[in-house]
Amino acid sequence: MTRPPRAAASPDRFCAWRFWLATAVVVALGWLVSPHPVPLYDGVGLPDEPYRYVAPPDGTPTTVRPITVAAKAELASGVTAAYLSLVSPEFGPQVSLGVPQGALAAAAGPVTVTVTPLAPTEEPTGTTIDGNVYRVTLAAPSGPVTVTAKAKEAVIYLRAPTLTPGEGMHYRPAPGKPWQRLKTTKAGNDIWAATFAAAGDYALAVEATGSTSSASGGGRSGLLWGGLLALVVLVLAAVVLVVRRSAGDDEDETADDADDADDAEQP
Amino acid sequence: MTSTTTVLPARSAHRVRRAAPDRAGILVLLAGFTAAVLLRALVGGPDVARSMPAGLVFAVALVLLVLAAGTRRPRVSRQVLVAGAAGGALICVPAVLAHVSARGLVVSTSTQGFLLWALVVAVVATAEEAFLRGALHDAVARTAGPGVAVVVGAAAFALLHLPLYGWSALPLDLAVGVVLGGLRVHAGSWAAPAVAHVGADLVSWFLR
Repeated sequence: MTRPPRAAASPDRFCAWRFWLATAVVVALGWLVSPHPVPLYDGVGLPDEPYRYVAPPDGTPTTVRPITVAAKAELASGVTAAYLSLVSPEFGPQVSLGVPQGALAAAAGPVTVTVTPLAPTEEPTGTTIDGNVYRVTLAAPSGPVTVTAKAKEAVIYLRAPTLTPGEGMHYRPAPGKPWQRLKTTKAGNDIWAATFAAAGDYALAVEATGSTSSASGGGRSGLLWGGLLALVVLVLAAVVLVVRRSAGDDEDETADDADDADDAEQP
Repeated sequence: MTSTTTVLPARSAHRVRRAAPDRAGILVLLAGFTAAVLLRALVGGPDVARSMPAGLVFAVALVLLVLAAGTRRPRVSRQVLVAGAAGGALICVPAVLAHVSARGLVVSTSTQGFLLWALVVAVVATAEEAFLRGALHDAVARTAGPGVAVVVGAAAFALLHLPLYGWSALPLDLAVGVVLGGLRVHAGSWAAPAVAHVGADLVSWFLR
């Protein structure tokens, strides 16, 4: 059964506070549930500025050097009393780190978190580091800073210089220590996220074997056939829609004619 | 009198046939939509989310489907535009709050490349709304009611963004899809979600 068409919106419906309240709740829920929400809902992504390398690879454009970012938090009951947010100044940011309140502990404050970009030196086994290494240091005037269980909620984001599928974030607690791959999720077009482990080095890396930037001959052929197939399906869908619409119009006209004839027969 | 009694069932049959649910039409629309998403992904490659040519190919494909489906031009009135603007402002709130909490009240003032980007974004977002909240919404609403149409449109909207932003943005995109569908029902025109969608996209330039 087809439902009757909705009546045109009346002016008072635009003031329906219940609608707007429900809308606000839905958006808030979506935002809270998304593990790494991005401030984009659609369209064409924002053009990022070229990646700022500490040591630019050959052939990359010269840019200004990336800079160190730092943030401080006072302590309350021995743990950080505020949310710490570090975002590098590039468009879009190459690194950002959010440390929740209570995630860092020290004998006396304030606690300073610093993120410093470095050129990669030792790479994780079997991978190539893509971009800079970011060293996170935690410092307090009273001595060492430790991470609490709350630090599991901290997330570090790294932007990749190129759009390479399968980037993985790697971490090592100190130079010379072995790298370990962190559970990495895609948090944006070219942004990757992982749970903050502790102070140490963070970097994105891709598998060294196999090129990810250029398609092989077989891959290109597959893309071509895939594109053709998609085009054919699209055109077919459009043709079918037009044909069905035309048939529907004819049917409606026939029905209208019949209705008119019926009406004419009514006493 | 005799003719009246024999004709009435025939009239009912005509009305039933005209009112029959168009499930096949919905499937065709969804197949075309899937093909459009695939085309966008193939044209854009790994850089699909930022690729303007891929975005424009996608928009053209959606407009083709919208025209083929015979979707009518949306009703545009001051109220529809106000509802769209209010909806756009609402879906921007989380992004603005996140930006302010992370970076403070700092907005990008760079306008280099903005005009071309804004034009392409507006075209892509409007084409998406014309399809999702226009053609697809109308087809599903005729068959299963506006509530189901909102859900189907939101699901398609969220899945469309999966290759662009990954699984992590899925809940938010689903919620925003529901809101845009709600706006469509609330305002009675797909112009309202189109205004909201374009507005939210354009605001993101200043929140970089």
